Amino acid sequence: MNRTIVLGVIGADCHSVGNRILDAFFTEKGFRVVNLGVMVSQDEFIDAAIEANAAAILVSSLYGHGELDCAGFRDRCIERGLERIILYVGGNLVVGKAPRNEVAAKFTGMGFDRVFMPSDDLDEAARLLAADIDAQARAGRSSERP
Amino acid sequence: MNRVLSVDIGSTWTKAALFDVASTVPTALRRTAVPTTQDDLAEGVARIARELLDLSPDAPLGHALQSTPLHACSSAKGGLAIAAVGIVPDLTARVARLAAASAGGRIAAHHSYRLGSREIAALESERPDIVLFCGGTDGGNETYVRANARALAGSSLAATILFAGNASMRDEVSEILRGKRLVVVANAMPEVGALDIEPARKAIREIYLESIVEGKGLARVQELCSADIRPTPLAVFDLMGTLASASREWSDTLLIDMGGATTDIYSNTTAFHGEEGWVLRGIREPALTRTVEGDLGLRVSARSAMQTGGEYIRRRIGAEEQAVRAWAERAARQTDILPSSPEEQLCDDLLAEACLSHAFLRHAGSVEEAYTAAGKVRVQKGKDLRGIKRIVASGGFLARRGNGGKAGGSPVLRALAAARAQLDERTGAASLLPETAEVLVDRQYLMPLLGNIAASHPGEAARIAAAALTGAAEGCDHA
Repeated sequence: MNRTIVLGVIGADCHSVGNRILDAFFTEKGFRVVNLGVMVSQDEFIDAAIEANAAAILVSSLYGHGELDCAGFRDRCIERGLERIILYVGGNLVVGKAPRNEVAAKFTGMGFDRVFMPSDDLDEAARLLAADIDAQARAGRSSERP
Repeated sequence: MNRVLSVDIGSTWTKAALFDVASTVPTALRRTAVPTTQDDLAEGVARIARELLDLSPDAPLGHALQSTPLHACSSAKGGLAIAAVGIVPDLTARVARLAAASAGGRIAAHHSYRLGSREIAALESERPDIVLFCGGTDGGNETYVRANARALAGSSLAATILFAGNASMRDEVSEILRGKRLVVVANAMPEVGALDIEPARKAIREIYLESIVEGKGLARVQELCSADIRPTPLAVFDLMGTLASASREWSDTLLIDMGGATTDIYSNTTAFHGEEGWVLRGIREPALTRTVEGDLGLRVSARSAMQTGGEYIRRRIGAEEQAVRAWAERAARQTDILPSSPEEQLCDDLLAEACLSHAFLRHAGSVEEAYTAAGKVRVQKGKDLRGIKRIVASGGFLARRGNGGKAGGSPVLRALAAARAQLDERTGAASLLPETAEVLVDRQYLMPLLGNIAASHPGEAARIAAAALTGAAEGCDHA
């Protein structure tokens, strides 16, 4: 099964510690991690996903401007031939305190498949990711549609 | 072995020099040029060798070449034409171009994503010698690689196809392309952003020797040589590397070779320094790279250069670009033209500056400032040329005008200043161009000729280059 994932921190955000933790964590869980590091643009995520044939893109945003940075991400994936790719987003996605379901609704509305908060359990995230990739593979759909 | 003969076969002129590599002060003893003999390239090479060795026109060469070995490079008959194919324009498609240019190729065509019938038709009419076929990281993209392999298999292309893409696709690609001449090497981009272009460069060199040298009419030249013939840009590329290893003063060097058809830039400097607060995006380029601009040239490519550089010229002189445009038209039609009045010289100068400025901007990376919660961050893309300390100006125009005319001021530095002042319209990014480099002019056009001898005589080549470029080698006899 294709367990390649693209990881990175989107936008003008240089929080790199969490990014390194995620890289080490998902690698240990058996994923093949393409880590783009910090200050990553939408197109760079998509470029890397195409070349590496990734099953999922995991977007981190820690500085509260995730909504602006992530707007249109799914549409851009579709435009560039990645209709089916699994999109996760997580971090401090908005400024200040907002109810979880409100934040989640905002980002799923943008086309992200799952939304994670800082308090969420990483093991659970890895389990969900593996299950989502499996389901995608079973559906016989490649994430790659040139 | 006291002397070495070096020959550079160009499309119009065959240039050669006789080097003394034994004395304490190695020098270029003599230098000359004859028109390239298109029907039989070896004829011109033999003629020029006899001339430099003071042999009579019908004297046998074999014995003389045993004591004075001959080294040659060639850009005749279209040079080494490579089509570069990749997937994402900023990733493998870019890597393919970089590898092709760094192997001394002329980029005959470049394509990204899927090769459709139009792209295949364009490739077929371009008739490249080699198709450098990249795409996908190892274990990565399969769909585009498979589709492009099939498209190439269904084409009438006679070129050698060099596959330097996704390693997991090797067997399948070999199967699909079994009817073609195929060479498979390690992936040029095994991981996103990580380059490994040496295997592709080495393979291109081998393919050139095995199956291209003969077709270019160079087999008989090869018989005269004591080392393998190389494409001329590869001789210069290798020279850049050799000079830097021979002497520290040649590190952080950039070389421009501006001709009638193309403007080539070679640079040898650390691409990314990783300073505090700097982030690199995209691919990390090797220290030694070459870019070749097929639309920027002063004669054959003067029309496209005018089209690309028109805006530069308007900014430089205001509204009077018509005269430059007319000059470019004439230069494109009559490629051996030389300026015969101060006005024509000014037009040629402006066209050259425009070519230089654009070639600099394309070779250099860029930096964009971003403000984050942790302060200012600089996001770099491409290659950082700020550390370049010397710029070697080579080629016909720069040999004459590299230091500037009577008005003074090198066109290289003017073009550089203009390029530095230019910010990307969309992103506000600035280019990472040389800041305080000195310009050294290759008045005798020795660079490719020194490139020929650099592999066997690196120290001597460095010393001759240093002397010739600083203008101290006035003793060189122009035959």
